[in-house]
Parts: sequence; C-alpha cells; structure tokens
Amino acid sequence: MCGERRLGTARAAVLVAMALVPVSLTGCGRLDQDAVSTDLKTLQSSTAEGMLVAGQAARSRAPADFIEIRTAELSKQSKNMANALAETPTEHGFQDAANRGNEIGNRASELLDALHSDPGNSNLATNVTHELRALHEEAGAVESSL
Amino acid sequence: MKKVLQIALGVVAALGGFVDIGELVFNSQAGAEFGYQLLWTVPIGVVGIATYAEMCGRVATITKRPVFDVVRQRLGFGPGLVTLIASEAINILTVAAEVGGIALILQLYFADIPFRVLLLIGAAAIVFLVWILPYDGIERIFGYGGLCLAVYIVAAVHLHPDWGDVASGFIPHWQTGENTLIYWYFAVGVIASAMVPYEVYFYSSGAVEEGWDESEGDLAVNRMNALFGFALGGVFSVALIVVAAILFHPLQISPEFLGTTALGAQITFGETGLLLAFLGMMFAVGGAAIEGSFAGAYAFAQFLGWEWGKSKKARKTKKAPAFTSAWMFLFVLAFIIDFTGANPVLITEYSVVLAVVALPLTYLPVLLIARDERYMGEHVNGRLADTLGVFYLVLLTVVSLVALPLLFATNHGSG
Repeated sequence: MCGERRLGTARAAVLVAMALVPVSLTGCGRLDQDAVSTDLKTLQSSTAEGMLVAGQAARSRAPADFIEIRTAELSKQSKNMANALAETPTEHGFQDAANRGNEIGNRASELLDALHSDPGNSNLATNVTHELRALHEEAGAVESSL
Repeated sequence: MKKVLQIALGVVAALGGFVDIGELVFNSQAGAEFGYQLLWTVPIGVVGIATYAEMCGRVATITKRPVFDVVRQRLGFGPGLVTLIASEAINILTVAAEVGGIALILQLYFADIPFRVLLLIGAAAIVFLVWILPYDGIERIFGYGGLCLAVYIVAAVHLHPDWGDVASGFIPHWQTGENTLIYWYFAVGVIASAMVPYEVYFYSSGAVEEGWDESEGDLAVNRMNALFGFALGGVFSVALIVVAAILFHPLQISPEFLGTTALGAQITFGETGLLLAFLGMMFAVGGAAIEGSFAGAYAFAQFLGWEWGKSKKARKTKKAPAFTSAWMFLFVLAFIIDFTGANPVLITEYSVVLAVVALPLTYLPVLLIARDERYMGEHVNGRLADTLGVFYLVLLTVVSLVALPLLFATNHGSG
C-alpha cells in the first residue's frame, strides 16, 4: 500500500517535470518585456543623473573628485545595462528596443568616461550634458514604445 | 540649566542615532521614485521609534535593565537566543553597510584612492575614535557632526516645493497600478529604517551607562530625548524625500549610490552644499557604525551576563574585555564583508528589510515589561503608551510578514 503511494507520487513528480520543460524552454534565457523595460529605465536614470553631474561640471560648481567618481559609477551602470541588453536575446518583438538600448548605454558610457578623464573641461561637460539629455529622452521614448 | 543642557545633548544624540545610511538610501529612493507620496511613512516610523525608545529608556531607568536583559528575562533562554542570533546577524549587516558607507562617502572627495584603501582608513579611524573617546564624547561628536545634514532641510525649503503637494503626501493612501509592490517595498523600507532595533539597544544601554535615575528627573529627560530627538530625525528624513522628489523624480532617476543623495545638496548649494552633505553623512553614518557595533556587543554581553560598558567607570576599571572584544569583532566582520566587494547600498537594503523580521521579537518583551506594574510600579505604561505600543507591535508583525516577499518580488525595489 505504502509502496504504491510512493510510486504514485514519483509518477506525479515526473509528469509535473515533463509539463514544466516546454514551459521553461519557451522563455528560457530570453529577456521579456519587463526585463527590457527595467534595463531601459535604469538607462533613463543613469543618463539623467549623468546629465545633472555634467551640468554641474560645465558650471564648475563641483570638485573634480566628485565629478570623477560620479561619472565612473554612472558609466559603469550604463555599460552594464548596455551589456545586459546585448548579451541575451529578447522575446519576440523587443529585440529592436534592446538593440537601441544597447547603443544608448554604450554611448552614455563613452560620454561619461570622457568627462571622467577630464572633469575640469567645461566645454566637454557642456557637450556631454546636451548629448546625455538627448539619450535620456530617447531611452524614455524606447521604453514607452514597448 | 544643567537639565536643559542634558536634554539638548540627548536630543542631538537621538537625532544622530536616527539618521544613518538606511535613511539616506531609502528616503532618497522613496522621494525619487514616488515624489511626495511616501511622506506619510516618516511620521509612522518616527512615532514608532519614539514610543519604543521612550519605553526602553523608562524601563532602563526604573529597573536598571537594558533591552537585551529584558528580552532574556521575559522571553526565556530559547526564544531569547533566537532573538540574539537574529539581532546579531542584522547588526553585522548594519555595521557592514555603515562601514562601507563611510568608504563610499570618502570616495566623493578622494576619488583616486581605491575603495578598499578608503574602507581600511574609514574602519581604522572609527575604531581609533571609539578606543580613545569616552561614551559621552562619542555621542556628542557624532551627534553634532550629523547636524551638518541640516543642509537638506535648508535645501528642501530653498527648492520651493509646492507645500500643498507636500502636505498631501502625509495623508496615507493605497497605491494601485504597475508600481504597487515597489511602492509598498519603499513604504516598508522607510518605516523599517526608522525603527531598526540597534537604535533601542544602544539607547537603553546608554541610559544604564549614564546611570539614569528616577529621583534625578531622568524620566523627563528620557521623554524629551525620545520625543524631540526622533522627531527632529524625522524632519531630516522628510527633507531628504522632498529634495529627491524635486530634483530626481521628474527625471526618473533611481538613486543607487550615496553620491546621488550628495548630489541633491550639491546641485542646490554648489561646493558648500556638497561639503556639508559630506560631513553630515560622514558623522551620521560613522556614528551609526559605532552604535551598531556597540548594540551588537551590548546584546551579547547582556544576554550572556558579561560585564559591559563604555562609560568612564567601565574604562577605568577595565572590567569589560569581552564587551570590547565583541564590538571590535563586529567591526572586523563588517570590514571583511565589505572587503569582498559587496555593495554597501545593497547591504543596507537587505539589512533594513531583514531587521523588520526581528523587530516584533525585540519590542514585544519591552512592551510586556513596560506595562507590568510589578516591575515598573507607578511608572507603568499609561493609556497612550500602551495603545501605541500594541498598535506598533501589530503593525510590525504585519510588516515583518510582508517585508521579505516584497524584497524579492521587487528585486529590492528595482522592479
């Protein structure tokens, strides 16, 4: 009696596992809408904050060390998001947004790295401010289109 | 006059104890994500911590017993041990978050020095200060230094918020829509960061260390410290939320670095603002690191019956070697955690949310003793303290049940 019950439990477990295989395969290793959206929102955040930091650098209102560390952290965050959007394929319909997010993240990272290397250059900081603003708006538009 | 000075010092100490890396992180994030909508959670946390700090101080003054003594006595050895283990785990995470926070703050002005070197410098400086300073010196230096964070109060006013919108943020409301879980995660975070258990361990042990006595009017001092100190701390929290709501919310910035919080003061007042924010954060976070490590050492000592203390008497007689070893051990553990490369901001979020789980176990025995006439005599809880105590215990129990699911469901607030 007890053995039959154990056998029944094992069969049920195998059936559940078999049912879960196709379910897991359909989304396995792919970015869904939420994941792409979250990464794009993080890019919106890092480009916006980068824009504020660059704005302060452009007006020489912050010490170089502060600009250096903030641009380094934000550059890394943008790069991480760019990589996350590029490394994993998306579910159907979100690949274009992910590709664009990847480009935005890489460009933002480049801009922030440039300012990190030359935090006292107010002309560079002004240009970085403008470009990061455009990237911020674009990241928002791509995220809204999902 | 002496009493007024004592109250003023106590208020500053309570204020310094209230604002730590948890407040700096959660309040900025709450303001940036939801504007003024989560302001209502600040008074809930402030009234809760003031209620239980007053109770702990009163129990310590009347019975001469600090919190963990009470925990062991009322809960018994087994449940007391569970509380001790949970509290120590949280204390280690808290100290790790604060010590890592010190290094992150130092980075704002010393970007070229590697993070791990700043970590070593910060931890060594704190241990050195604790070693050489007396108890009241630690309280005063870090309490007064933390007042530099008033730059956020001035910034909040200077940024001209719509005061009608600010006022409406204090009305609790139910959030619906796609961000519901994140909203409640931050609501829990703001309340929990105000009520973290180390604050009451430190507060009540301090009352015993300073020899508070009913006959010398120390019950009034206790009431004033708890009420005004934590209320002022609440004003700091509100200011952090308002500044983040004005500067970061419209741009959809999600603060994930302490530097973002500093940016709020920097944008408003330039280099002066940044310097004040830097100093205020340094003292507030440094003070919290000391309080967290002491709270852990107090808990061990009081539960295990060791000699404990940092007062002049304890230092002169050198009778608390195990206590001293315990707080140093906590610093070393915290340093090792940070040295592995763990993100202090992430540690903060985990430590605050995990602390919620231990809160009912910490506050239940305090409430039981404070309302027990056999211990407290005529100083037993009045109707207001009792009602608030029971209300917060129920609230914290509910919050402790949802805290961890919210942490994981929202990916610690990232969505």
